[in-house]
Amino acid sequence: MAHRVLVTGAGGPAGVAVIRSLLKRDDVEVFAGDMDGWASGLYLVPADRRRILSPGKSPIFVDELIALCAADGIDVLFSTVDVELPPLARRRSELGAVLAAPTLDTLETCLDKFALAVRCAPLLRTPITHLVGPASTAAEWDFPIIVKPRSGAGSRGVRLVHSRADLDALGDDDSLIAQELLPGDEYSVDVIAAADGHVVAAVPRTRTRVDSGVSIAGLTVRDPELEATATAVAEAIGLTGVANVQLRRDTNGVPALLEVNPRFPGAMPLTIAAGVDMPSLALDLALGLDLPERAEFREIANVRFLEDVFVDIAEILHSENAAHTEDD
Amino acid sequence: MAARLPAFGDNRNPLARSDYHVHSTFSDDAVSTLAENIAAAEARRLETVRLIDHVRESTTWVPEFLTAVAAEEIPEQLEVITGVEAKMMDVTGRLDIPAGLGDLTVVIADHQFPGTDGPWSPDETKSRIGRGLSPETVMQMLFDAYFAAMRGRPNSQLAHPFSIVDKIGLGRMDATEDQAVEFVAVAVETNTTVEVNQKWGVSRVLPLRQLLAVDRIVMASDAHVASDVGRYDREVLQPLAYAQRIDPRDRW
Repeated sequence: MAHRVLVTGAGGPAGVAVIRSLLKRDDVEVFAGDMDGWASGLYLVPADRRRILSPGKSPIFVDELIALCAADGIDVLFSTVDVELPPLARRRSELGAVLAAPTLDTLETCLDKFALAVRCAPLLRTPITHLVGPASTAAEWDFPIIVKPRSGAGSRGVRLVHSRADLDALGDDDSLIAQELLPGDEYSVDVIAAADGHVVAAVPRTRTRVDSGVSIAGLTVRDPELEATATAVAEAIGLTGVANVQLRRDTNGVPALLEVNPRFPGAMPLTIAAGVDMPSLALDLALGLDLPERAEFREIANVRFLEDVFVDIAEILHSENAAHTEDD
Repeated sequence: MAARLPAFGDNRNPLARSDYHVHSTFSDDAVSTLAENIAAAEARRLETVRLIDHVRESTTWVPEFLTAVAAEEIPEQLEVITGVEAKMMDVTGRLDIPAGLGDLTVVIADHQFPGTDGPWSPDETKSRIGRGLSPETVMQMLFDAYFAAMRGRPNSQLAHPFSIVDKIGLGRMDATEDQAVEFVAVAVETNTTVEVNQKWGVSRVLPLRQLLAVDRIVMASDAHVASDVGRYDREVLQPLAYAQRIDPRDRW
């Protein structure tokens, strides 16, 4: 029989990328799950492999997935949704399927930007980072600086602070970090590390055009310094599996760590096209197969467009959850 | 239909109102009497309880067992049915049952591996695999034994099917989709009842969602003590509820 793999977050670009990668393998039956019946990736798999899930924040989300994995005989679970990962990783041993995601320690470190900076600072260039409060007040800054939530994804809550008076006005708030603003070019580096922690590939790419937070055009960059920095980050956080490391060059051109998304990025198709099929490698890792010592990639650019899947109206799954509304 | 099934986390599954696999002191390894099991079923407000005990070819007490059940006082709302549990002996599906059972239900189990020349212990099976018997062949033998056992004795019940698979170090990947599909077809064709067994959980060889294509699915505690009669954990109930609920033909 084929390996049964469930990919959650089927409505997002990362979910679609993982589903499409795994559909190319003839030893895999891909199941697609999402909280929203209108999630496009659901309709990339046969009708009997589509699953409506509760929202990742729901208290029954993990219980439901455990039941689903047992009922469907799921072997490997890929979650492409930030909020789902920590609760799933906390109950990894109960899932009945192998969770293709980094360890809980890695996830928690990445999701706490202050902890991440503290972990990585001794090992690589990180922007000067302090919790907002006495430490940020005592620090010397070249304004403007960045203030952002200690946890949370995307650009939500990120602001530029132009003066010490504005910084001090924030008071004591250790849910926020103050961070040196780096002026240089930004890169996203997709990294995959094997079970022993060795980095199999680190593929830097640009986000040349971004629409609604999703990279829609970019190119892969062969740059030993970017690759080495992302590798050092992966080693510092004890990565196994896939993560997306965001770097930005400082005034001297040295790549510094911005943040790590410990999951598949939406722009994964570019990395796959460059020669490193990370979802497929992550599946091998989850199945306990050996990964290559090193996977090479080439420089290539992509542009993206929306694409349609046409289905019979009766096939559309109904859910009480809408992942997106017009207010988003 | 699925829309009226219990919500996720609600353990009042209609199937859980019955227990199709309860052992009494007629089995060597069980501790409660028939009366204690019936009382426990009543206390749990079960609708149906199937009292079964382990037999072998040499067992002589079946008539005595049936007489004893018939002599019990049965609560009005409870249906008490009977059967015997027996293992498959070999790849031809021969059952380890005494003669003269008539149409008494046999609950068929894979306590041992049904080998070519009789039952093989899990260790012996593993050792044969180690010496070169291919996992594909072993899995085909197991399916063949099930197909033959179901066809040889229609209207039977399968206890925890494929529980032997883990014990011999094989897994779902050693089976094929065709085998799984044929298993369901043969179960339907032979009017076989298949258990969702509390003690053995859900086999990965035939996940619940596939198994539900069999018309006759029942829950079974495999109780060897009266306090376990009709007791099912979330680990069994929730996958079942999920598998029942997500029939894509039903909107919910």
